[in-house]
Amino acid sequence: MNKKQKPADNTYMPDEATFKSRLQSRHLWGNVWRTFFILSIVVAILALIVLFTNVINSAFGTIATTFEIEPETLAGEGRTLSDLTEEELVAILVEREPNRLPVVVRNNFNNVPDEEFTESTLAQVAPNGSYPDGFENATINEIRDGENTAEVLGEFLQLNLPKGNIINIVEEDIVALQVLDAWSLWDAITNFEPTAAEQERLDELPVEIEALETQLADVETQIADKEADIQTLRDESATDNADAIRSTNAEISELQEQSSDLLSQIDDLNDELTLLISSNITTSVERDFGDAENPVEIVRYHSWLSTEFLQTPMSSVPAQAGIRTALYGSIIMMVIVILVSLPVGVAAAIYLEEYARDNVLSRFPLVNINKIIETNVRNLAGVPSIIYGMLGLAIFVRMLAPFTSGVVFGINVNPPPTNRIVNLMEELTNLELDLELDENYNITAYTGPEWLSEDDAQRVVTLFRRYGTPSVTNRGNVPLERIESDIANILGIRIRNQVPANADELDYSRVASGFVELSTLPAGMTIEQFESLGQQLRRVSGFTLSGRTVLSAALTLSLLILPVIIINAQEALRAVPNALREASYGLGATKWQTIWKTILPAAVPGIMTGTILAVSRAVGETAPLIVVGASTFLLTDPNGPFSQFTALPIQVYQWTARPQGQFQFIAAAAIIVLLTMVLVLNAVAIIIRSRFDNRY
Amino acid sequence: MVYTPEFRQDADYALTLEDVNVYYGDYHAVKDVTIPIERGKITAFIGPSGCGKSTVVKTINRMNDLVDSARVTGKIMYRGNNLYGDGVDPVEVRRRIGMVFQKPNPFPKSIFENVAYGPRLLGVKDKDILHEIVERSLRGAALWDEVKNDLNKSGLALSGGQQQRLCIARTIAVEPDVILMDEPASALDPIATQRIEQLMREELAGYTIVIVTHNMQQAQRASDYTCFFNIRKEDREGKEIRWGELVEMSPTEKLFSEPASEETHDYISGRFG
Repeated sequence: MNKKQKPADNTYMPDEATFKSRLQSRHLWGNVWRTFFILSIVVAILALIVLFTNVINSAFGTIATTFEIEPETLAGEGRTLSDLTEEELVAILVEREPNRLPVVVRNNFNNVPDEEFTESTLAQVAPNGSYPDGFENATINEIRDGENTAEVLGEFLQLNLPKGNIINIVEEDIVALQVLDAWSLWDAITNFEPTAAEQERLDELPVEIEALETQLADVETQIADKEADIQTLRDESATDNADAIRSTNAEISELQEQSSDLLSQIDDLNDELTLLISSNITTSVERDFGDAENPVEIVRYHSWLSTEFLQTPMSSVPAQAGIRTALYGSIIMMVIVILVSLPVGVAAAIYLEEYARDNVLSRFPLVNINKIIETNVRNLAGVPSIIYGMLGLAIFVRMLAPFTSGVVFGINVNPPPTNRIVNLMEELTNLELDLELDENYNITAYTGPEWLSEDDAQRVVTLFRRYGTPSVTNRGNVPLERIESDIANILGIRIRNQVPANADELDYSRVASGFVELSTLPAGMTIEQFESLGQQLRRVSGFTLSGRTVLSAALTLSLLILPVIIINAQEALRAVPNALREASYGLGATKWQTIWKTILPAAVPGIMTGTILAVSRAVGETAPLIVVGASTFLLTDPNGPFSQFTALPIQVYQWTARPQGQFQFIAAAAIIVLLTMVLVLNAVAIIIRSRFDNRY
Repeated sequence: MVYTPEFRQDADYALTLEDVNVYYGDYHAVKDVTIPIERGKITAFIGPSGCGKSTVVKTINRMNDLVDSARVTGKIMYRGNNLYGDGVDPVEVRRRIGMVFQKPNPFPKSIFENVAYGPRLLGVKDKDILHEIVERSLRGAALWDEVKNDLNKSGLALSGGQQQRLCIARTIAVEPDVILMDEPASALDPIATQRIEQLMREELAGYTIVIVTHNMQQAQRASDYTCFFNIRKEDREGKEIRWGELVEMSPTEKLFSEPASEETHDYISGRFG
């Protein structure tokens, strides 16, 4: 090796002067980097400030409202609607809008499809509810035909709806509170009223415009006079008065110039006036709604975020819309997500971290399968959430529908009334079928076609009963093929997927597609009857097996954050010093005792923080929820894991997509609620971390 | 030269290591160690860094099992059983042969819970009995008077020397036969070190103790027997292979006054290591 000659002064270190100059550049570089880091922070903080001001600007502001009946007139002196009891509120409804009550009932309970609403009994409209005495099994039509319709339905509403909903109904249908227009907070602060200068201008402008208009009128009269003069001159003698005509024409064009000049001035002033009026809230309200029938009130500082906003359900009127159902949906989902993903994630992490080292997989030559598993868990954490949505749709909503819909547990099963089944059975066969059912859906009397024995008929009835849970939004989820194959099983019909050899001889599309082999139909049953059976069944069915529930969504979100929880928990377990493991083993602890008594307690803060941060991410997820079928308009609160649901981010997404401006404001208010939830979760994470810090 | 100790008929051995070899993967770390460890006596392991003394101590209560690649051949006889024989549960071995580590490693729990940890593992649940055990163990580790009023304080709030004595209390709480100490005082200041040595001579008198130490004075002051380990090197196909070997085992006084081996003499007189 070629070593450099050692310098004369016997050192490799730079001399004093070089050192000094280098030192300067070293410090300089340090400062350059520091500036860069500060700039990064500034950018981040600016972005946050812009976000927050934007949201706050929209969530608060000014509104101009009007109503048909003043709430105070309804509620009594000095009281608001929320001071009233449910009875009083219902009484108002019954008194003022007796004929609207059936519609109100229909809109607020969506357990039966709209077209079946009038034939449904109250018990079907609100299963597991409370009913006015003696009306449990009365259909809406019967109630409508009877006396005291409004009182009965009113009592029904009062028994089955939370107060917030009733207030909403009163506000919507009777007070008819209407927000005419809304402005953001910035406008409320800066452009509420015209400033003194603006006001002066506002006062001046109409005067000026009027003056100009008078001038204009004057000029136009002159023009008309002159034109009349010309006409007179022409009538006398065009040739003799040629000069006079020419000079008058010149005068006219001069006047016309003046007039157009005046017109443009007036236009300018008018523009200025319009701009001034529009740019100030009070003036624009005066202009736009000044001659409205009902009194217009301007609320200078209106918060779209209010306790009422939290307590009322969705509404198509922005001012009355709330997020209660969404909030409940999000909270239930959060609880399920934690219950599912925490144990599974921590268990997986414990396995990977503590056990995987010496399992069978680790003994493969060349590849370390445990490492591959770990790497893939890490990759999963980066998979876009929409893909988890697709996964959830395929697995939880469709494949596991019997579980996620709750049907397996006897929830969400609401069989159609027996008389309806009897009707359908008769209708579908087009045959002389005599069928009577008792209330347990057992056949008590039966005469039917040859191909449908009493036993088979009973099984078809059972099928109806099983598939029949009417519900508006979940119609038609059970594929026709599935229903048909169920019937085929009962009747011993062979269903196959190949096109039969004699396909072209057959007319019926289902048969032609090879779905049913005609020859296997029971004697006497036509293919039409078979198809009609399937179609009819489909008409009452398709509700039970809808997996679009809170549970499916929560399971999907759990899948989504599972990798994150596993990774976090692994990090937390890895951070437990080996000395603690040794200490525990050294005292004669088994592996499980060591994990349970030493490693887990020491890792809990890390695991909890990781989990909470992951859950707060899940709470804000939107894409997978859209895919697994969150409802966008839901008035009923979710009441368990098997309910339809909506969630905060879904609401925000929905509202921001609406064209009406006021929805933007309530979207901002909902964003504040969502952000608060996330921030609270993160704060809990921080508290846990600092609380358990320095434990080892 | 490999030392072969004589097993005396009259001696009562708590443990005997016979031809113990330790491998880490393909690496042969310690070769052919044979040591008789007498009951109720303190046996010290000394030697330069990397000579395998800690490794040997860890094989005694099978802590080496926790290292994936570690493999042990030879026999460690304890009460007539080979600790590396078939069907021996390391959990049982560790309960009989306790260990104190180089760095104090109390659990992030209260002092009481630290000491009660071992008894609880073994199924002692009665509060009064646990209290009795905790007090006796803390007295045994000469810590009782200092902490009796704040047993609920975190074990981590103690000073380094107190933490190490807490670890000793924790170890004797399960009443082991043998206590292994892997450089228990190396992370402590001289006064704390002195306390530990005093503890070994007085409170722990009667326990069979194996102590690894870097400090020759400590071995000289505290132990009855001393084993000197050294590093052997060999050139194999241009690569230097190192391993540890036991050079000499003698009663401490004899080893330090008239070492049988030249190497021992060089080491104790400070020529290397």
